[in-house]
Amino acid sequence: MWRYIIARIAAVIPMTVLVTMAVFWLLHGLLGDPTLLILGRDADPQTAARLRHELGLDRPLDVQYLDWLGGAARGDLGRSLRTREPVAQAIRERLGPTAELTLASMALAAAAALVLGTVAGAWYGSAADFGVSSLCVIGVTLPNFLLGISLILVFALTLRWVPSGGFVPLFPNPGANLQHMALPIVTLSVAYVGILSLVLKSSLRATLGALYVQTARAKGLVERRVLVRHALRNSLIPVLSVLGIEFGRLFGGAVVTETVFALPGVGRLLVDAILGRDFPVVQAVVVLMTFGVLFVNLAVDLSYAWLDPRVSYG
Amino acid sequence: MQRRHPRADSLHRPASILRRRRLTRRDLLRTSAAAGFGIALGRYAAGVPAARGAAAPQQGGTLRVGAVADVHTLDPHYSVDWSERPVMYAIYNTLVSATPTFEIAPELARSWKVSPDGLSITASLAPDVRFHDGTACDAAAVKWNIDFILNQANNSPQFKQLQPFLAGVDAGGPTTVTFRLKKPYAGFLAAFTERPGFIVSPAAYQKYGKDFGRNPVGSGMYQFVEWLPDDHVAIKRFDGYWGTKSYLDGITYKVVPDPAVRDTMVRTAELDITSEPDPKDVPVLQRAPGVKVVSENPSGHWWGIQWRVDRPPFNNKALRQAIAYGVDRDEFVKIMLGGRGSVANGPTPSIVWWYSQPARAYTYDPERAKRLLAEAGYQKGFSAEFSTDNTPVGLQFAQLLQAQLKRLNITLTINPVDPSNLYQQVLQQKVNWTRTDWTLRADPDGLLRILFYTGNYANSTGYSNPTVDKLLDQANSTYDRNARKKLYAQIDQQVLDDAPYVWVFYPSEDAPMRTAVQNYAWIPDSVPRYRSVWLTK
Repeated sequence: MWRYIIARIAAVIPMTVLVTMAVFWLLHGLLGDPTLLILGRDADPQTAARLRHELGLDRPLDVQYLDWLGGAARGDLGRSLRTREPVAQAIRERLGPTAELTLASMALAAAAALVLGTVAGAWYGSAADFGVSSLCVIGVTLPNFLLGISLILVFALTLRWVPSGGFVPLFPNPGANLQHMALPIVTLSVAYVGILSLVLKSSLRATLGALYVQTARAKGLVERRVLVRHALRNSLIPVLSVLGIEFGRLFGGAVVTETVFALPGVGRLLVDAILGRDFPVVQAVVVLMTFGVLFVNLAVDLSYAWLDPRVSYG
Repeated sequence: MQRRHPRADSLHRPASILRRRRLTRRDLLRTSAAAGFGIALGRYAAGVPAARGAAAPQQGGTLRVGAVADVHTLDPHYSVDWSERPVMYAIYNTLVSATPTFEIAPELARSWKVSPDGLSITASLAPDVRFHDGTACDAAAVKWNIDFILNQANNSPQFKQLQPFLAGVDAGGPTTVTFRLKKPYAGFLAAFTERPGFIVSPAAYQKYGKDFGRNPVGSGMYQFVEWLPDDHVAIKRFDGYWGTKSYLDGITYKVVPDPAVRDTMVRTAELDITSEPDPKDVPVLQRAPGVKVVSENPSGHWWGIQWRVDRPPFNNKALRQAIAYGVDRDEFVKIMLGGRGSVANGPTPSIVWWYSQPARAYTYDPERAKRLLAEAGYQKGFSAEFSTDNTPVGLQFAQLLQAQLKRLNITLTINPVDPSNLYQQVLQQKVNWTRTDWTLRADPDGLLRILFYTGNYANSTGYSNPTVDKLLDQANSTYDRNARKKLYAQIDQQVLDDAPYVWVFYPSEDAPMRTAVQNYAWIPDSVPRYRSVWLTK
């Protein structure tokens, strides 16, 4: 298994290089250089040219990319072109809210989907199934910003239960943190609850018709035990696969959610950096996201062996 | 309407940053000549207007401001984004300041005198001013700051605002600074109400280096406490302030990018004040208990359309004028702004001293537009691409224009462009006909020169009129305000006739706030300042 893990981690490196290369060329090719944004509308051509030279932006793209890659390999992500702060510091400062938002949303979505998907799958065709499935479809189709604003209007403006936005670190104030993060986490997780529930429902329905489930019933196990021990566990593999794939999309949702709820996270940093042509920041965030998605998927792959003894990574 | 894309600050605001306040040059000269140093302009003490209204100002409290976007740096020498200015006006002093009535008032410079040849200006600084780090904010510090900007190797975005007219600066004593000009320049002091006028602590600048932008040290009435990126900037009252001390204990600038959420947070009292509300929310906010809206209408921020006057099809003056007559400005104000704004007819709104009613302006006149179209050779209309920022308001603007010009058989194909890319594409001439917006600068020469002088770096329409060039040169070389006003009236009329732009409207500037917030006033550069604000208990 360790050999498998090492091989997968090693695969992250070429994947990251490919992703950053694609992003680098896309950004430079489509958006152009950032000097006008750094100097503002009052920039004169001479100053812009000098700044472009100092930032190394007048060099060939492949040289610029290799220069960046060399720095990144040594752990030097450079400085932001706009704020002049070290990129690693910029990301570190914003990692907490994004990590909490995405991980908590994923956990909430997984827990809710486990209940809803099981209900819909086990009682397939019933009113409960219809209700859950309808809710799931609504959840998947509802845009994040609309849901977020609606939740703010109800729970912050009308009921005054929670604040409209902002962030308080988890430590040392977990209570206030939960108050601030409740709506964003719910907003971000709703779509994933929908997707995961529907996948679990289909998977569970197929599993419940399998021969080994009939055997379990035939040997006299109570239905709850058949459902939980035999059917549900074996239905989780496709759900986990989707969970891993969808984790990347969580970042996309986090950008919108962080904007609506004024959370100082990596998503907003990325959007700001793209619009400001702040290439070092964009590259670093992309690397971070690539790592995040690849490692979550690695964890998902490893969990298959736990869920299904037939799977082995020997 | 989201007035500006948060990240588009650097495009739409920088220009904007400059809404200038015109100094009464002639008055200054006259007074200076008579009395030497010692002009005292009104009751301004270091930029703090006296509290207005019946109630006496109350001390204390922290003002919670809903900021539209985060700051990128608090180093004024490298500041570009509009979002940084509200904080910088609290932390730093400028050499001179702009007042809500659009005059220039003393700040660090308490008085000034222009030499008879107009080539040097000597300012007398406030004595015993200290930066927050305890070092002296004196003539040497002012010289250090100006020299830093003028040193081309530093690549300061402020360089271009000073270099065309400023040869150098000399410290003649602890409180005396002399500015040497390359030529008489009437807009001189106005530049120092803005970013080039912020004075930072040289000692702190040398101590922090590139990290000064995160550790700002000025001499303003508030000192820096913390900046949590994308979350908030906190500042507190500086007890050692040399001028009238702040009423507030501190200010927290909370970054809330979404206008609807900012508006809600004012209603729920999570914020005390914000700006740039969603226009749809303004009537609701006006009715909400505990909330009021302070507005400025017209503002000094105009919206319009532009084109390349040296490229077909818009190198045809009759065609440009036809379109100018075919734009229904009232409909724009009514539909796009919900009535919260004013029609624009020329680059100068009525709120500034150099405004003159144009003798010939454009009104909505489709029949005249059709006649001019025929005269231009387009009696059957034509089709063209119109580029706009792909923000909701940018697209709404384009769609309304498209509908209006359809009445003249002009077919617009809308080309949506990323807002941070639009101006670059205009400069590179990748697009011809586009939406645009600019905000006035504190002196008329600022914006008019960069937009209309032949070959100027922001003259993105290809406009060239020797008469306008000559008038601009004349107007900025005299310190006589009345003479200048007449010259700028001619310039405004000429560019209106030539139509390198079609000016459409000035959106109102609105600041929703809790009723506890007192003494807030807009300054027409649209930068919210909170120096004079106090809170009722």
